[in-house]
Order: sequence, then C-alpha cells, then structure tokens
Amino acid sequence: MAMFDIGKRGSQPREVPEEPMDGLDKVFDDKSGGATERPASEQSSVRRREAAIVGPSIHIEGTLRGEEDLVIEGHVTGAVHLQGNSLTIGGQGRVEADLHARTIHVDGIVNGDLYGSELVAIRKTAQVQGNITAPRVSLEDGAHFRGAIDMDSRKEPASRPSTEPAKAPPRPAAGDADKGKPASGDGGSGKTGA
Amino acid sequence: MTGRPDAALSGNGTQGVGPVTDTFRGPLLEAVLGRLRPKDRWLVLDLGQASAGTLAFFSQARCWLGVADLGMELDALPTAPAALQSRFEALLPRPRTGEPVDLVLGWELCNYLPATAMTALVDTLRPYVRPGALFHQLLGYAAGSVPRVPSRFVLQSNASLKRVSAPEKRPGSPPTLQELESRMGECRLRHSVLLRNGLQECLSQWPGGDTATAGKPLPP
Repeated sequence: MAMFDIGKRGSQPREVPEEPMDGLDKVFDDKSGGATERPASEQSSVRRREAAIVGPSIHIEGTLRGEEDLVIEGHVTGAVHLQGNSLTIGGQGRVEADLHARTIHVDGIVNGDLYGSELVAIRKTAQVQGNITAPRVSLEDGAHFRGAIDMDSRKEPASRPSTEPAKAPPRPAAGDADKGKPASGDGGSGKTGA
Repeated sequence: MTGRPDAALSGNGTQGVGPVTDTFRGPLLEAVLGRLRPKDRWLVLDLGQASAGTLAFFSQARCWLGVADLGMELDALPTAPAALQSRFEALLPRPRTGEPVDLVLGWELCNYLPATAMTALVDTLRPYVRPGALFHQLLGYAAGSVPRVPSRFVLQSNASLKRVSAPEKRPGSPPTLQELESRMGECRLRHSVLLRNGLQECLSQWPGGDTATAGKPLPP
C-alpha cells in the first residue's frame, strides 16, 4: 500500500531501552523475578525488524490491523490493532484511537486508550489523554498525560473487605460510556477526561 | 493553557535560569503512604502533573493511579459553579470498574484555584470517593507570591517529595487553613503540619471514615 513506506526507513526511528523509568525496573524485577525479560538475542531481533511507517502527510480513518511493527508519524482516527507487534507513535504522529499492541511507545499525541500486552512507554514529548492498561508502564517526566494507569494485573479482589458498605454511586466516567464494548470495536476513542 | 514549571523557563527572557527544585519530607504524607503494602489495592487520584516517580511509587502495589493534570487547565476554567463542576467532571479520570477513590493528592493546587473552583472540585469528587477517603494537599504559607505556574511534584521512593518550580513568581495569596476548610465543605481538615520550606501539609477526610478500611489509607 502506498501509504506505508514499508522498509524504507528501517526500524523504529529511535531506539530506546524498553526498561521502565525511575526504578520501575527494580519494581518489576522484584515482582516477576525478571521472568518477563526476553532474551537479548530476541530483543535485538525485534529491534532489527523493519517497521511499516505511516508518513506525516497520511491521514487514516478506520481500523488498522496488522502483524508487523508500525510507526505512525501521520494522523490516524479509529483504532489500531497490532496484537503481538510493536507500535510507535512518532513525534509527528497524531492519533485519535484506541491502541492495541504488544509494546506501545508514544512520542506524539494520542487521544484514546492504550492497551499494551507487554509495555506502554510514554516519552517526554508525548501528549496522551486516555487510560493505559499494560503490565509495564513507563512515563518520562515532562510528558503531558491525563488519564489513568491501573497497576492491578491480578484482577482479583484483595485488601477490600467484604464487609465494606456500599460505595458511593460509581458513575461512569465522562466519555467512558463505551468502555464496556469489546476491545476490537471500530472507531472507538473513548477518552478519559475532556 | 497554563504552562509547565520546566517549560515556563524558556521563551520569556529567563533562558539559562533552571527550575528551582527542592526535596522535602511531609510527615502526614509519609504516614499515609507508609501504610501501603504490596498486596493493597489503592485507588489514587493525583490532581497534578504526571511524573515517573509517582508512577513508580504506586507501582509497588496494586494501585489505580489517575492523573488529572488540572494545572494545565487553570487559565481555561469557567467561573460559574455549575460550569466549573461540569468542567471538572470532564477532566477527572475515574476507574472503569466503578471502584471509589481512596486517596486524592492535590499538591499546591489550592494556591491557584479560586475559592469557587475549589468548592466545585470537592463537590465533583464527592460521588467518586469512598467514605473516609483522604485528601492530601500542600499549600503555601509564605504569602504574597506563588510560582508563576503550578509546581511539579514527584513522589520519591521513600515517600518524600521533590518539588520542581518555575523561578518566576506571580502575585498570589494561598488560602489560610480556615479559608481552605470553608471551601472544602464536608471534607474536613484532620491534620496540618507546617514545613520548613514554606509549605503546609493538610490532610482532610470525607465523612464515613469509621467504616471498614482494611488495606486502605487511614489518617495517621
């Protein structure tokens, strides 16, 4: 497809370590015993893999699906599903969509929720408005972020007493009315906040 | 939009002047956060700017961390109470699970929010916090001026705080404790501590704190 400069620009525009910032690596090492770390050979293999690129002049409306790494430097509205692959929103990228990928790195602007099966990294130039769901989240100081990060990966009730009285009425968050929809829903960019 | 303490340092004739940083301990904050255990599930709403340190701190447990970044909206806030509440409704992140928030962090925000906005904010928060939820704030007591833009606060691993402030000041008088209390309705001030760096720690609590609180932040 002409809109993808596949292979023309090589791998991801910026190679950064995929470790969480500011001590998060220690936290996760403590929790997982480092079990989630992939072998160095595999990491370098991933980094060498060439990524498709949505160029700065491209505007895509709809659902993007794929089985290769993708760098977005253009404007995407809708949804992006790259299960098992890496997604990078470059510094020129502007995305109004829910994002699903193995790893998500954000340098640009995202309005939507981010689902990383492995890692979500928000870099200092990023502007993100949405919720983040991932076992590892890193955030660089200086990033503009409004939303929520849920660090409960176990999904089991704990430390919440059964005798606790009924809570204050949990109203759905503004813009959260569509949060119950399947993750694969098209065109959704349910945002937290304005 | 209101700027950032870091970003505010360029483009206004102050190039070369770095942000002012200081690290300090807040005994009330330490007492609250010292109760956090790895298996605990706390829902924490930070009304300020996102920071890697704060994220790292709450990553030690099973926390939900909401970041409202209200400092970026100060210049755009409406003035009418109803409009304010509606704006805050749109700005505040809330758990999808419907779980109520346990702890609200509003560091130095009250130095910048007008009285009506502070009241509207607390009213907006009320349905989303659990009975007995805590509201930790920092306000300045060195009257006369405040940093031109709200400071950025970074929670350190030992529960101390690093403050990053713009060097420029602007006229402003932080509220007194009495003024703050009158703005916060039923969220009552429980403790306050004067810190050496010109800040005052305030810990307030919504009613209902005597209900079950196992694994939850409690007033010290």
